[in-house]
Amino acid sequence: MNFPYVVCVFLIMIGLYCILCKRNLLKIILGLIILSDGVNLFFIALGYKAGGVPPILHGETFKHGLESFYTAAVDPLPQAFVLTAIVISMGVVTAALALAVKIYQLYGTLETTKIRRLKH
Amino acid sequence: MSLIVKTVSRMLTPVMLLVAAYIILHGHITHGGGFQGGVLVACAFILLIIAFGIDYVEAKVSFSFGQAFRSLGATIIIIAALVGMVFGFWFFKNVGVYPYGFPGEVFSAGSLIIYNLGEMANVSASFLVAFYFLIRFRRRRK
Amino acid sequence: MEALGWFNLLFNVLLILLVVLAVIVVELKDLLYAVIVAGVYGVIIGLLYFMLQAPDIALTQIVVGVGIQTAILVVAVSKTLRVEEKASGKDLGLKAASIAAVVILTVILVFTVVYDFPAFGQPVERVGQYYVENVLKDVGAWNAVGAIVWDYRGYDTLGETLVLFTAVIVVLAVFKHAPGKRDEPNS
Repeated sequence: MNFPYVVCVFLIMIGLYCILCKRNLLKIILGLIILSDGVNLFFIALGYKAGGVPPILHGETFKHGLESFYTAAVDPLPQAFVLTAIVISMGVVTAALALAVKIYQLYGTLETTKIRRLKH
Repeated sequence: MSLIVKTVSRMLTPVMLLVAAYIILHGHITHGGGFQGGVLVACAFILLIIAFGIDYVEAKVSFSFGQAFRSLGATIIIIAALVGMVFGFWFFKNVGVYPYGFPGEVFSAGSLIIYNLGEMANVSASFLVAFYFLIRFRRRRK
Repeated sequence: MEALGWFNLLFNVLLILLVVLAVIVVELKDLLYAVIVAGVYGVIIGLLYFMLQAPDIALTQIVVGVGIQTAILVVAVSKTLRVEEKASGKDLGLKAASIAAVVILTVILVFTVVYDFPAFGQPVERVGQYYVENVLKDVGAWNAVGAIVWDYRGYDTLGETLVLFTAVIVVLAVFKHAPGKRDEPNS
């Protein structure tokens, strides 16, 4: 049963629909956030192991032996990638919001169709 | 803002900074790290901005200080990575140049704590500087 | 076994709630409400990361998605318009083509994901096994994710730091003036 993957596909497609069909710049940025969240959730769900434990050692794991930890720990590599991806998407959102606010100051509107017609 | 918001944020900010310090200094032992703690530090200052206004916060943490702190963080990361090349290894060489330490204690795992502190400086000051710009911006209609 | 059943039920309910909240965020006309609903959406997705045994990512997602993202978006909404303007409705053909493309892509990807991917909970890649087994010997850190981020794949994170640095430089270049100065921005 791959229900979590299907949900990730729906999230990505909702974000893509928002980017393609909405005309408001802030709405487009919200769609970007939803799209990147869908991709991140897909990565984490791919690395999940049924009945797994987080890939972090602590005092209890040494008592039970490290072998059981090696077989039960989930994949740490997608988590490291997603950590990087979240930072980069936040930086992109910050830069895009700065551009949107500046566009509103120059054109007086946030609609992409109206920005095309106005001259500054 | 009202008196309630001011009092609550005055009590809440030190707690947030303490949690951020825990997250950063234990980044190589428990979950967390420089990025999460840095964003939490930025959130603490943003809470102060919301409660007391931008002028109050900028008198304490100025814009130039934020820029300098941000650059300092990135410089710390690059210098700590270059130390490996000085001793004849490669870029980002960790154990072998830096001490291995005792796993599970704060001063272990070589240079991870230095990288976490540099990342904290970079991330917190970056978001704070961007927030200063956004909140100082005055809209001007034609 | 009883506990695992409740866990699965809660997991699936949260997944469905996530899609519903995403649709609400996209379709709300009031942008301030949309930003607040996006904060709730961030909490839900953080809970899902926690249930998928990724506490690092859960912490990051909650701090970013509720704290800084909501703050920056609310300030941006307060500096611009709050209510979405009405669409002009001229390029309906383009919109219909976009919706058709999205629907077709959704169907293709859903079938791919259901029939071609390994079952949920049984991953096939084994690269991460090396990191889990050798992190204590190589680095001496207890947190495998932190060790990968700053030791095994340090170049990756250095690039990420520089991307963030550059993004704030973009903000600086867009707004031009230092915020300490009180003069009007020139046109």
